[in-house]
Amino acid sequence: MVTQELLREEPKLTQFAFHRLLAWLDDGVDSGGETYIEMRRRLVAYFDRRNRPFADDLADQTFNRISKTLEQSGSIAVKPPARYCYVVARFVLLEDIRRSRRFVQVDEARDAMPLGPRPVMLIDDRALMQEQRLECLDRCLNQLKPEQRELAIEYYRDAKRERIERRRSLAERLGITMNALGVRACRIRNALQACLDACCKNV
Amino acid sequence: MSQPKELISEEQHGQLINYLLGLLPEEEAERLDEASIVDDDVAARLCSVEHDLVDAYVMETLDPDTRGRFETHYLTSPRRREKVKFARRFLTAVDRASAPPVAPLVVAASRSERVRLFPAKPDSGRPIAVGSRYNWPLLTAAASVVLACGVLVNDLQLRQGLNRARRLGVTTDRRVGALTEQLDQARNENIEIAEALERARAAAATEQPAVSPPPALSSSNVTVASAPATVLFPQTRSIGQAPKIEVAASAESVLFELRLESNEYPQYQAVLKDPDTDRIVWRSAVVRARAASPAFVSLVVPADRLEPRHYSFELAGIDRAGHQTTTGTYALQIDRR
Repeated sequence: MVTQELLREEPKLTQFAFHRLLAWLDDGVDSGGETYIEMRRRLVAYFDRRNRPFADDLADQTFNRISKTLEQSGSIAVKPPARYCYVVARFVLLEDIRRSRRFVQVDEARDAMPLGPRPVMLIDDRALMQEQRLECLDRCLNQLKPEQRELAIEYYRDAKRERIERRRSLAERLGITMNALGVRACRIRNALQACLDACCKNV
Repeated sequence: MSQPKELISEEQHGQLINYLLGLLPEEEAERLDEASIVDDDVAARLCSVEHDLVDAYVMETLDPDTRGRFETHYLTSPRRREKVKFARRFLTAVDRASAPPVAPLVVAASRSERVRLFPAKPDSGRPIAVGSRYNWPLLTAAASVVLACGVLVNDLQLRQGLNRARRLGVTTDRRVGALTEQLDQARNENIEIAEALERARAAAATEQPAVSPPPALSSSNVTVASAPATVLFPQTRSIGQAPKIEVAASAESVLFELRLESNEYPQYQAVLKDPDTDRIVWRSAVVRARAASPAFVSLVVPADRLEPRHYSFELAGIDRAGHQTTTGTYALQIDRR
């Protein structure tokens, strides 16, 4: 499996190495780990847009390599850190594409294997699962601060023109630009999706 | 990371959409690859554009070409499919959280074949004349009305509970949602009871023409108890004019019951469209049909979405794999008073 290959290649970061990576990403401004989370999200999205099936692993592999460089050289001259992240990520991507070509025959053979009858999920089970997920989402929404919750609901209501008008008036009310509002809404939505994923795993 | 700059132009917006749909030349796509990681501004715009694109797909407001490309490119990744699934749930939650409170203030202009309303009929208040010791039709009617009264009490309690919950503010929003659902359920039960009552009355009138219901069962009680619902029947070629539904100016929402020809799907979702422009003006949550014979799908539409004009509901059945199939179209005309 490609993932196993990746994990073998890049051992996990030590706590010390991880903190050094966080400090390098923050570039002198302590973000409390937010810069790392945001950069990881961007890397995962990048690998995913490039249709890599293990985007999370590739993002971690990118950080591992940067961390190794930091360990060996003590510092990285390329500024800002995000640019260096992209440079490394591009290499990781190209290597993964090359590696997948090597593994493609094995993967294709595995994919071609008959899977046998898929377990049938009863309608009630599906409904129950859906219900649980919606409950999880409600729980996640309730974990937000009231103003964040209100923002998310207002921002994502309606469609097309109504949605734009609503956002415009919301930005005016909050005294911020539409883009700043978009950034806030995106962060909230991403956080909600992460919360929902975590919640569903525990259900 | 710095804060992003000002507004996104139409051109940039289109470029980001094309990037997400894999329609850009390689060189341009690589430039955006880099910008999406290095440039905070582009990263933020891309995030926003992607969410809106996914939402538009879920709300079925994409044009056919974009929708096709979305399905053949964007949905090829499991991670992105998850984003679509999340959007469905998220938008359902947003709809639920932003829906106005329900008030039963709908009156139909006429009782046509495709529109039936269920407020209890005004009663003459005739004196009781007990015709026999065991007057079964009357007893049935009485039992129905007692049940209706029970539901009325339940309904009132739910209303009070709902109001209390609203006053508690944001932290109790979830409870409000649950109470609203119960209230809707109670209303649905009321409708069934009112129907049963009508049937029982009809039977009583046939068998005991001289017998009237007792004062305790007078229709004024039932009028309050039974919530008006508008029943729509699927459009067929033989049916001409769309039923006219009068919505009071003070109404906050309108309860519709879409009658199913057959209940074949575990879940349903409806969209309300302006047939002139094909614009979707409202979308329901994913719901189950009421398991009666015939089956109905109940929908509560916020009254502020209904302007005086023609509309049509498009009802889609959702199978176990999540695929949607249109099961019927229900035309209607709204009048505001």
